[in-house]
Amino acid sequence: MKEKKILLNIKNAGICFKRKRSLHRFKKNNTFWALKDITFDVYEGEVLGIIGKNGAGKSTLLSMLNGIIAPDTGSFTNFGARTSLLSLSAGMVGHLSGRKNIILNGMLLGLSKPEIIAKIPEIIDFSELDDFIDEPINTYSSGMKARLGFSVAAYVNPNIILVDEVLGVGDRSFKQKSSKVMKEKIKSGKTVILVSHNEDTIKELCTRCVYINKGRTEYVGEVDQALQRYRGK
Amino acid sequence: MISTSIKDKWHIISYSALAKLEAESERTYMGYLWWIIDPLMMMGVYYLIFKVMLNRGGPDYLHFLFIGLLTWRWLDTSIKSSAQSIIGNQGLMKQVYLPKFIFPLTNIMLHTYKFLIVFVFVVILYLLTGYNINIHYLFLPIVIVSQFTIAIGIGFFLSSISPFVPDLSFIIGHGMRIIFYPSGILFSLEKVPDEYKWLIVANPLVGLFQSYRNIVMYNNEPVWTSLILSIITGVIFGVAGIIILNKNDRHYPKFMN
Repeated sequence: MKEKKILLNIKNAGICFKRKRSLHRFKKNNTFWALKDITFDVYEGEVLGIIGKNGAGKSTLLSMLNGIIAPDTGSFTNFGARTSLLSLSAGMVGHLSGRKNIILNGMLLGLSKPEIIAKIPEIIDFSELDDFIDEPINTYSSGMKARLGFSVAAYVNPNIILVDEVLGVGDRSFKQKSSKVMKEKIKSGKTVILVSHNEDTIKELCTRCVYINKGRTEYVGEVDQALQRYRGK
Repeated sequence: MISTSIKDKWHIISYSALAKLEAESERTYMGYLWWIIDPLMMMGVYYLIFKVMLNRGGPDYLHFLFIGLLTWRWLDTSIKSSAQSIIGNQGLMKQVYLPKFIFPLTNIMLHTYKFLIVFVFVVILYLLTGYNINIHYLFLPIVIVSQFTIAIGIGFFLSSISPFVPDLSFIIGHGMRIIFYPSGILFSLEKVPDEYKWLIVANPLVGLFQSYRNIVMYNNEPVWTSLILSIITGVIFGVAGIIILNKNDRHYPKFMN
């Protein structure tokens, strides 16, 4: 069997948040370890689930995998993979047209300007925004904005897709469509990291699963095993 | 790949600077006209106070004041907005990794584009109202680059430390005002008593703003020492800022909740 290629390596990683000191808040312990001891690898082509309760450190872990926060202890190594969240809500400029927001968002997600400009027709088509695309996006409904954000992200094509909680955005029909696209991407051999506390989603899509509890990796491996331990706690 | 090329980063900076300018003008009825109306109104206020009410200022006070205020505003808005840029972009910063220098630089570029366009209009206005184009105009780009350097240096530095010291936002506003008055924007500093003259020499901004007047109004050379001092100040603060920004590149998101 072919050796699987490692894309990300996380070794004993910990992340510490410091609460801001203030004149009218005297508290000795100002540090909070959101992650304490996280160890696992991410291989090319796998769909890795990350499961854990609220407050287990899933969001912080996702930030680390996305390269946004570096660990304070241990190490995180990215072997050259471009990671990206699927759907970006920040970075949109309200008074600007949908079309210009596509360009801006695409560049923020790591495409070059010519690359994103070449993809505009497909993105507009997929977003189903039609004539609205040249209107400023603060005239959009929140569903329309979500559709725009998702459509850009769907065409960016990173090496690793990071998915937080929800599959699919927008109204019911677009939700089905976006969820279908995501599942297609997931099943097409893309590397995906799926953070969720929904067991069914993890079970349906993931090939491997990490269970984290109170900032520590409790189990890495079989999906069934991970879910069992998650349920047991 | 993780690191996009310099060109891609530059595209992000210039595109979002222009996008923000467009968005800003969309918000108001008069849109881009505010770029010129705003400094004119600011000048109106000072002219009323100093010339009409206090009867100060020289014969060409209107021209003296306007170019000073315009160039000051470029510095003032660049520094203030870049100081807030890391904090202001925390939402974006938590969703996608971007090298942090992009944020202050975008804000500075936004104000620089705005300034350059308005400045061209203003120079034409000066030429139409009795001042002549002269050989010293060749030095104008150097003056502009000097001011850009000091703005970017201080902007980088303040943006790099403001997430750790949020209280800075209060101080910066007052600090800029303290710098504003002794920088020779509202009145000429020629009558300052000798014992305080060193203050003027030590403040590179006095000579910097005077340089614009020297060229556009007085057919004279820029104040070279002040330009050099501005560049040195800008480089020192800028390097310190870049070092702090790089060191905390992937830690800033933790400091903002």
